[in-house]
Amino acid sequence: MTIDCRQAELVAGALALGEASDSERQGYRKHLAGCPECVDVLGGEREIERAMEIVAQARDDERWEPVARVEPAARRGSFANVWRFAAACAAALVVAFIGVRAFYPTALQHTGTVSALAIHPSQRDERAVAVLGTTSTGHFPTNHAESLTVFPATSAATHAASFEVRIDKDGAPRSCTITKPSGNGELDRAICRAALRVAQKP
Amino acid sequence: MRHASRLPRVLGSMERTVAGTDRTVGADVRVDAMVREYQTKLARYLRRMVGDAEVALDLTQDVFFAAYRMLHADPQREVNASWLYRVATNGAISYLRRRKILRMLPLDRDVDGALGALRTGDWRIDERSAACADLQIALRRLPPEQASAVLLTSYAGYSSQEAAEILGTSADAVRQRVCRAMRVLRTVMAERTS
Repeated sequence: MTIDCRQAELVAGALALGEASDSERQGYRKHLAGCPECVDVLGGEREIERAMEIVAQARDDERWEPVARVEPAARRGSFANVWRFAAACAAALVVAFIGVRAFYPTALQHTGTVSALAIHPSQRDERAVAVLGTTSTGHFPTNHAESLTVFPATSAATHAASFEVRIDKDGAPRSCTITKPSGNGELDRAICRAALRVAQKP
Repeated sequence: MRHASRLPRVLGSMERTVAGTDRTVGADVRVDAMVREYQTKLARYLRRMVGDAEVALDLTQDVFFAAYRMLHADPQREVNASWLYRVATNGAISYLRRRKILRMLPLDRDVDGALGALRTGDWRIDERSAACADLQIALRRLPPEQASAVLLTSYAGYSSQEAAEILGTSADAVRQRVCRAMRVLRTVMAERTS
């Protein structure tokens, strides 16, 4: 088998991957014997093998375990802040609810369901993937996916929740209520934040 | 073929039934299975591609996010290992382009300096072995198309044909990219030993 310089490059790649046939290997040797340039640029079989050994060694030496889960203990210090924030949110919701009741008695309602998946992607934060589902009225997008930031870590299980967003007559979202909780308060709040954010978009 | 014995298939053939391909269950269950099966492999591949563990984890999440959105919208859609790696590769390449890392990185001849940069966080991978450091230095000098070719084949264990399907190119193009990557790797090794 006689090969030219371009084919020699492809055979060198095949040799590196252990995919070269015997005839390709023979052709490569024959080509290199008469082409000093390819000897220099592509290298002999032994050189290719040595380079591949580095890759194989690096793969065997790989010790990085991308376990992104953070132990709950690492976040305990922030629990007080979380509860303070939750209390403030609850108070704000009550005020908003009263406000909507008082000034917008004919408020429209958007309702929907959420299925959220927590996949623990990074050590810095825990984001859940949520899809805000079907709605009864208005322009609320169906199957709108949102990435939610949830503190503290939720389990890697799938959560589902239903929510209701109250919209005033100008189409602006006024409040969000969880009608079927997911079982995780933080996740519920994140879902409501996302639902309000989505409802605000034109 | 002697050499192939030292490169066992880590992931196995793409024809094999992979986690998350059962179309009778919901998108969340399928993605959950894929996360369990491929999170580590994809994150390691992406960490080599982008040179940053945190970015790799973010990009890994994006891959599963995309899978979830797709399966939620169309449960009949086929999402397999090849698809996950394709999305991961595209994500890594667009990240590298976005950050213009390729242009910012100096093509330094000084291996000690490059190793120093690795350890001081300029290139944020803590390398435990000379082989890992050599590979990472070579990868950062390579165009992402060549880096992904060498990682998918020699690191993730795909054949050139399987890698070609993932990268949307031909097996010959993959072999050519691997050959050119080997050239850079040989240069890095020569610099370390000289």
